Amino acid sequence: MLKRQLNRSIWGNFLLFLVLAAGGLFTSLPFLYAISNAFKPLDQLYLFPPPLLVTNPTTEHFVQLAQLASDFWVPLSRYIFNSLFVSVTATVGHVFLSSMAAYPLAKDRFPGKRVIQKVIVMSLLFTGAVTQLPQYIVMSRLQILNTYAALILPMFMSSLGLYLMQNFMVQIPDSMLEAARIDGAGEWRIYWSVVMPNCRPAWLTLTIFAFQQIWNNNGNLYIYSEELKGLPSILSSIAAGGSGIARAGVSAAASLLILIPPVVIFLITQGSVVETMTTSGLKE
Amino acid sequence: MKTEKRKRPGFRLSFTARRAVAGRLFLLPWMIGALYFFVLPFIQGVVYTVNKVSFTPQGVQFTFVGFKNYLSAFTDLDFTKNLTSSLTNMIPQVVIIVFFSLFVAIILRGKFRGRALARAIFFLPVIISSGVVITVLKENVMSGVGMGMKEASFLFEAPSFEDTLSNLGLPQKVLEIFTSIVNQLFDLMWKSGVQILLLLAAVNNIPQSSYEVADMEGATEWEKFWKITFPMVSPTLLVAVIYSIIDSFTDYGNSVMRMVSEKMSQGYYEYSSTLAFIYFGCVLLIIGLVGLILSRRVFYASE
Repeated sequence: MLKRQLNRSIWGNFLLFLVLAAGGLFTSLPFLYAISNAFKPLDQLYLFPPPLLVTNPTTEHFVQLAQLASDFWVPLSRYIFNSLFVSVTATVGHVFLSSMAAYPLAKDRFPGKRVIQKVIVMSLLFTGAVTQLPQYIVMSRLQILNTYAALILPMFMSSLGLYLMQNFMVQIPDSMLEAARIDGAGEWRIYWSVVMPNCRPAWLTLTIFAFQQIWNNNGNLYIYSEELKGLPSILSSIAAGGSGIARAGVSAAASLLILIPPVVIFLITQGSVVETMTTSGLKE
Repeated sequence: MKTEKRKRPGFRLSFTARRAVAGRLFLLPWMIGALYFFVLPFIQGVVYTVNKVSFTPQGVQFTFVGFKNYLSAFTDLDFTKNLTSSLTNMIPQVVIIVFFSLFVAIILRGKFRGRALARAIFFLPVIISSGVVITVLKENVMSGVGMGMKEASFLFEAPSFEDTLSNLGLPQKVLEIFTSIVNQLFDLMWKSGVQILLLLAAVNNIPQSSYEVADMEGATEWEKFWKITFPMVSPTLLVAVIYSIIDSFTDYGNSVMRMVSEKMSQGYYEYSSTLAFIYFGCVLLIIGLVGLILSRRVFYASE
């Protein structure tokens, strides 16, 4: 580690800084826009090119949003609760189930493993639009349409997490698991006390990914009672309804509000993701 | 490293058996779910492609039509055009994403001052990209409401840049490819989140001792990259390539995916699934080919 530090020259550092700064700025642009747009007065929203900084910030969009929300048939808090409940349950389940399934796939050899791995890659392909109708029919047979389960269960089985966790777990040295086995640990114990702590960065990252995926999921397809819907459905109805110009500010404000929970999740887990990535304890 | 588990005689056999049972138990919940939410819908989807689906008051009605849907898909000029364009667009996209992610993973690896900050800067947008901001942006672009429209054209198109290049007298074809990449660059950087994480983990798992050995032998940074880093991350690189291919094909901005969901919303369910299945057949073929070509070059370190 120290060696690498010495190898980097001042110019190298400077160049690195430039690349990082440019890249970082570039990637964070939409994020900055999302923030600034929510505070822009209407006339500035339509300027071209869009100014990044707000000259005279206003909170009128939030006031309008609150007024709009008070007219809703279902109170706003209900939407918030729905979104939070569904996202948290689905995320926890997704991360737990996929890491559990990933462990034998990454570290064991058993017949049918290759087939399962192929199915995982295939199921990654079959997203969204394609499986919507068949999935709808399956859900109606399971009688979970128009329940929270219709939003949560598919996420439990989404194979994104399985795919990622499997690839992270492969990198855990076998010797570590052997050591635990020699000490008499059962498979569950190994999974819970050796594998999981060692791929903490992986599942924390997955948590962030999964949470956002569900948080943004507009589950209107499988949910028709208004009181079971979540925040994204309000956002899309705000964006779609009414005259475009007047609603633009409100929808910018609403998108900023919707942004908050994922950012909070990121800020909470960020320390470990960023830090443990290097020192994931896998010392040879 | 894995084979030794099987060789042990005597009471260990039951041990292996126990492990196999445990392994299946671990997989079971996911498999039940996959059965319901992937395998069944998949089979249902195949059934659609050879039927005419109509919705009657008595429920969904299927009339068997054979390969008619496939035939009309292949004679649909829109579809074949979209298919070829999305297949050809995929290649530069994946190459850029993978190299960009490897590059970022490598610069974020070492120890340098401000590393924590650099990582945070790179991770915050990269991780958020999988979610809201990009969805909100895209939703705004698609619905044509509000600021998203103008932002998008400002961010993604860079018109003056294109003019400058065409004034320089570059051939139109090269220009088109180039500008389409520039336009997508932003999108591409944002799509690299998963790949960066995968590669960063892989890069961090390279034993430091191999670099030390290389240093002792007087290897340059360049040599160290190609002789150590690259081979050691190559298995993960393959994973990243496959993931990128899938990601690029299933993106909603993809012309074929748009067409599929358009047909779906217009009520042509059987046609929409047929398009999707042809499309995914092609994608699987490409993944298979890429896997076959790349896996020969991948270096698996045996410990």
